[in-house]
Amino acid sequence: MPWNDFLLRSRALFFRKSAERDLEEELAFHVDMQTRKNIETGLTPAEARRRARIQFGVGDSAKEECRDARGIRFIEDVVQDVRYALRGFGRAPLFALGVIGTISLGLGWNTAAFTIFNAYVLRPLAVHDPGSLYELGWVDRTGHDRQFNWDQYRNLQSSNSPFVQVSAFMPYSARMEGRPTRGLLVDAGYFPMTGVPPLIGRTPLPEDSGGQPVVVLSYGAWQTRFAADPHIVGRRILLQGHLFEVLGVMPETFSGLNRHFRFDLWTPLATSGMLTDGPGLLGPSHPEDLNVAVRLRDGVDVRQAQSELATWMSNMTASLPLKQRASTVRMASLATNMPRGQKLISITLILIPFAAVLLSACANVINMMLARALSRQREIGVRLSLGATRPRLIRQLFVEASLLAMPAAIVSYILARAVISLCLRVIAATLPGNLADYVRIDPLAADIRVFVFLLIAAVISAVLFGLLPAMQATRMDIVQATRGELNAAFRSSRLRNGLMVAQIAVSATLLIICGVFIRGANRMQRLETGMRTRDVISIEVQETSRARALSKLADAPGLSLIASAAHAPLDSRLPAAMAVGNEHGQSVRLPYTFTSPAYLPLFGVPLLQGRNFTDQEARSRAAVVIVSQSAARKIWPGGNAVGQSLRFTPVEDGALGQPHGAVQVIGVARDTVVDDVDADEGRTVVYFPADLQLSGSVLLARVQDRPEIAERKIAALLEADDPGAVERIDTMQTFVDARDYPYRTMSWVSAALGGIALLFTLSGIYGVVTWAVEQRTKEIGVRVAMGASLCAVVGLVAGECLRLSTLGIAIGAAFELIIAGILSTQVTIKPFDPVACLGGILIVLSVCTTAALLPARRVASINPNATLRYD
Amino acid sequence: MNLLQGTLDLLILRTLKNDPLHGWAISERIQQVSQDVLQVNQGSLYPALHRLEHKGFITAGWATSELGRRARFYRLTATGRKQLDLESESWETMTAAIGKVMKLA
Repeated sequence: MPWNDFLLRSRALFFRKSAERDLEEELAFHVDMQTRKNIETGLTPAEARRRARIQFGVGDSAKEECRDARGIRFIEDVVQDVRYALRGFGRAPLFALGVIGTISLGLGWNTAAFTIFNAYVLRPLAVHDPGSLYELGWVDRTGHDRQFNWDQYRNLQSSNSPFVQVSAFMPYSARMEGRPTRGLLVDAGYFPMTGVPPLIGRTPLPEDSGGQPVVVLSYGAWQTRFAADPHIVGRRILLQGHLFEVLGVMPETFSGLNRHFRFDLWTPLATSGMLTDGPGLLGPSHPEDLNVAVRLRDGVDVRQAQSELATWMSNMTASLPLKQRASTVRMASLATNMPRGQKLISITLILIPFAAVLLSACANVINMMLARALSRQREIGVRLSLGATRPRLIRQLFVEASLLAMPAAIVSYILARAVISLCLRVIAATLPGNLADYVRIDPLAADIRVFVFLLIAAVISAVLFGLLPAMQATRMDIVQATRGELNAAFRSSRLRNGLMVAQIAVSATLLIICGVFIRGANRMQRLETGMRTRDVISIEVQETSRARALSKLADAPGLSLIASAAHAPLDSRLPAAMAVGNEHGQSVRLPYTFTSPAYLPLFGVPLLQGRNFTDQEARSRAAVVIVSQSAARKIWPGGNAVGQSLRFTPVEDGALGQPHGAVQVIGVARDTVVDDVDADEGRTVVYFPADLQLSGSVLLARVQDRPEIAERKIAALLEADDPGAVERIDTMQTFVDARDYPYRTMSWVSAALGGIALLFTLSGIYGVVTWAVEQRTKEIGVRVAMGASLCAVVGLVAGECLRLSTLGIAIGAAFELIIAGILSTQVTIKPFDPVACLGGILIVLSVCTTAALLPARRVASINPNATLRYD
Repeated sequence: MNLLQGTLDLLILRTLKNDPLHGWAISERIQQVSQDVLQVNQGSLYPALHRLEHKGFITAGWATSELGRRARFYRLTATGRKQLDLESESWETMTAAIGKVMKLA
């Protein structure tokens, strides 16, 4: 009977003493009865008792078997192990605290990293059934990714498709109450598709799609921009110069249908004319700017839906020229945000150092456990010779490890929360100027996935630092161990040396990478832009307002110079074209831009040779160019650039505005930073003439006020009686400040990781050498007695450690080259930076030396007489 | 003579069929009835009793023994009775079959 069995087991478990007493009494009764019987056969009482005992069996084996019958042996053993381990920790509290501290430090960082990874990548969209949502796209016959236009979308809505819900949306940047925000134009199907009700107010209804200026705010925008105004619903706010009525606020968790960006506001598609520049979405020119998301009908296969969609799309594009027709359609699931390809590699690369730190922590604990197991070798030997089996001993050591890992997991969770909140605070405090308006931080709450991760990581570390030393410690010769002779193989364990090398390699890698990033950041900061940016403001205006804006700027007080450039300097990457300098010259890649005559004087860039554009040349877009000093050197090394002619090779796809044909060089300008990265091409650039009317160009103005004040004044001036004129306005200094920020953060993170890894290495080496000294005391005593000098014995102990350090550092440096090599495809860094490399190596080497020499000095205090008499 | 593997449980159940007995009495009874042919190994009797108790075939309780001392008495349960019927039946079949083979094969 299970119930009966359960009762008996519980009794045995919880009333162990009474169960034992019963067993004792029952068996004693039996022996007594047997003795009595034996006496009756004529034996003396003593002999009778002895016989009775023999008949009963050797020792306590019957008792043991009865206990086994209770079926709680395993639990009893574990309880015993736990109590034994706790007693052990009680005797060595520093050891226990050291292990818990080390593991939680390593685990804490990983939990923090995983929390962030989880928030951005793993967490499903906070919408109704994200598993059935897909984002659509199509590819034309030339292989270009295309989106949808309004007509196509309307057709998809009305056609009998495999989708239950469809919605269209388009992201945009706009200024809300004067500060930049990211918003999303959505159609009436968007909010019903998410299935998320607003926190307050309401979401747009189909009746709102007529173009009324209404807006739904995100929780974040409501909190930070409107101080959580409880009467926000119905309030009119200024959006790109137009008044929009607030309909509602979405809850904090609302992510919309888009994973990559968080939006601050949602407005109906029909308001696109007010918020975005360019042809109206719903207008006659049909821009293909719509993103389309769909919800698959229940039970419809994705592949089937995709083929239906492909048929529909090829019908839609049948009337277009051949190259413009659809070849395939894409359906990207919105259920997961797992990145693919290059991005996945870089994310993995970022996570590897965190895992490496945890492994380094484990390595340390393995060493501590090994050292402890070593000092307990005699105890383990005794238990083995008393008949404990190896699995039983390993289980006991493993229970010990788990008991240490679980509190470590709890501590590391607390640590992770602290690290995250500290990071957020540091970011908030150090993020330069306007950049804060562009950075969105996802809520970083811990959820079930974080806890599962924590548990798994803790168990894995327990297995690592519990099982490895247990396997090693129980593999010993009983006879030797009980005699107290230490196993030679145990002493110079290969496992231990391997761990030490790995730890050193990890810290060397991280520290060198940290150095590379710090140097990258410093280079960025020191990098002379070659331009006077302090008092310059860049303004992007709506094309329809350009003429009005220009005339207002021309009369505005406090502006000394106004120029235009096709590409915002320092904030965008310049396009490039191929050009030849002379008949026999090679074709070179040249970044180019279009600038008005005032551009170079505005930024204080002097002309080294030749002259600037004339207004006439600017208006007529004459075939003349100014080249930068680097460009001149590159095309005509040693020669004079002015007066030369430069021939641009026509490019196949003939993109709009691409230069072609021959132009004449009229001047050479001093070098400036060319674009947002300081790429290999150096500071090569070709300036083409343009005037202020150049459509799509950025206006640049030098101001006399403080730039921040001037920025506000200009925005107000331009938007007076022309709402929505200003698309974006920034001080140039913002871009300069923002350039080195990513490098700084990367260097902080790698410095923190490297520092912790180094700390682990320090304590690891210290521990290993300390034990080596302790274990070799007898040998060293003999050597000293025979006349070895202090130097020789210290060298003996520390020498091996230093050899291992060198090996570890070499491996670490090699890793750094590989990792930084891959990273350099994503960010601009020099993978091989001799200074960073040397610096990192020196730090690690000096720490290793210190860690090895400190305990090695103890050999000086070894007294040969005392040691030789010991044991 | 040693007991056949697995027959101890059957013998215990059969011995307990009529009255509750304590461990010592069980072993004595088996020895007596078998006229000293079957000797129960006392070291394995008690584990077997505890196993049967866990299976729910017998229950145990303290009572005063014939000599006035407290002893642990085992009693057959309803399930134990069913089990005994089942096992004795298969025992009969088995011994009959073995007997036939020994005689005729």
